[in-house]
Amino acid sequence: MRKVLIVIILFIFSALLAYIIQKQPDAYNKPLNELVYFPSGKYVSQIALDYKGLIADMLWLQVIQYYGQHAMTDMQFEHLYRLFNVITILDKDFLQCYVFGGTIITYDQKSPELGLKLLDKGMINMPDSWQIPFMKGFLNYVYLRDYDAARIWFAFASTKPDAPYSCKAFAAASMMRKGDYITSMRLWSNMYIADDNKYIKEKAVFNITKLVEKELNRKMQSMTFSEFRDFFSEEIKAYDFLPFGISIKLMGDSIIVEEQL
Amino acid sequence: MNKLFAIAGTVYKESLRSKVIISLIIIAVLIIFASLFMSPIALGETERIVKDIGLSSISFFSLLIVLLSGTRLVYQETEKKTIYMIITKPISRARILWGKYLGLLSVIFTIGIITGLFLLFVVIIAKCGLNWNLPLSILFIFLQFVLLSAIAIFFSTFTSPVMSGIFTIMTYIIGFLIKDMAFFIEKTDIIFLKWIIKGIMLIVPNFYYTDIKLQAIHSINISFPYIIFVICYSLIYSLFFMYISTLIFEAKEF
Repeated sequence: MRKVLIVIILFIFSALLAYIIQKQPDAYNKPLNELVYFPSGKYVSQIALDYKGLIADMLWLQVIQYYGQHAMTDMQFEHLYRLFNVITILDKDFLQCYVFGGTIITYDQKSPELGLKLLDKGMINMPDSWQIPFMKGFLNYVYLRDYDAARIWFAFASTKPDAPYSCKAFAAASMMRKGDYITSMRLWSNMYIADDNKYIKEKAVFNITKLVEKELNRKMQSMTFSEFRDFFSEEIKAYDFLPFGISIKLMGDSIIVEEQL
Repeated sequence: MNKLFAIAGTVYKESLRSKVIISLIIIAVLIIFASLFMSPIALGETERIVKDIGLSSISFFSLLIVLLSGTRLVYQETEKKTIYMIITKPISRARILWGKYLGLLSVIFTIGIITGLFLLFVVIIAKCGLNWNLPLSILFIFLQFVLLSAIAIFFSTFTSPVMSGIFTIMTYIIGFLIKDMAFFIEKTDIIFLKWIIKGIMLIVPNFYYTDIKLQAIHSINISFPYIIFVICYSLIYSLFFMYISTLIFEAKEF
């Protein structure tokens, strides 16, 4: 009984100590060598033996922590490509790694060439996936604004098994409308609906609200108030497809758009 | 036949009475259950994490049991001097060895069934997609350890448990590196090294065939001829190692 009591006391003491240490400011600011134990891609596949999938999962959780930590602090993501590259060496069919990795490497690491390189690797490893060429079309459309390349990749995605009709629709939109903001919003909405990843959903909400805000402010500056009121009452109908509600407020002489919670 | 099952039954009972093995089963079950709580940090990848952790736990803990129990099966009889009592009974040495092997397999099978059913239960609770690949992957893990147990018994017939454990784990590691060895043969110019590596590749079983965990997670179909091939491959290799072990054990003087 005494031994059990000692173990319980030691456990409570350890838990308290761990809690105090985690609350220290240094715990939030990880040192520069945070990825010192992250394996290099060269021999990781050989070392993993029978546990490639498990190690890929552990690294995936580490990447999420890395991304979340830096998204909350310094927004420095210079290792993202390396991290996703190692995971996809271990598990060549890790679809989410290519799709999510391609997006955040392009948007947050601000390296579209590396983001597209990861997607190219995904297309080689998963030739039947429509999601990867779709993502390539998406990034070309909304980030690089290369509408011809976007059209090619959306059309390519539509040839894959189980590709939704939206691939063809976005290919047509890329060809016809050359980058209107409604198509960009539809693309982000598509991402919002299709993905369970909360970071992708947050990114979609942020980009959609910014797109609406920018467009409405631009129109308001170029029109009289009555013209803008008529335009707005028509335009608001075009937002029906949005998977979440938005609130549009007039603050002084500018419009603020937010997600309606 | 009854004598064979009597020995297998003794090994089974002894192993399941061992606190170490019971602890390993409990830890495996706890780890599989803990994977359920990963969903908030998995960013939509709960399904693959639950399945991956579950299958890897079954594989890892079966490996530990083979190493802890399989490598001691023959040695402990000599150490406790109980072998003198057994070999004086009207039972052949081959049956003694096969009895021990079947006993070990029944332990691994029981653990596979307990952890496998628990994994299926967790997969249902987590509302993950359930398909035939998951039980098939558990079957392949069992086949992997049918083969590794035969290898462990083979080494334990002529070495100490520690050395047998080292040799078994080395065979297991080399078995997973065979694919990379083939690549190395293509790259090297040293003929002597090529022959040695080719020799190793021919003798050591390729464990890579029995690993379909990633296919199970991604729901990639496994063809029926491949399943038959892996079953035959594992069983033929196991029979080969058990046959050599029997020859060594029969020639051994106590």
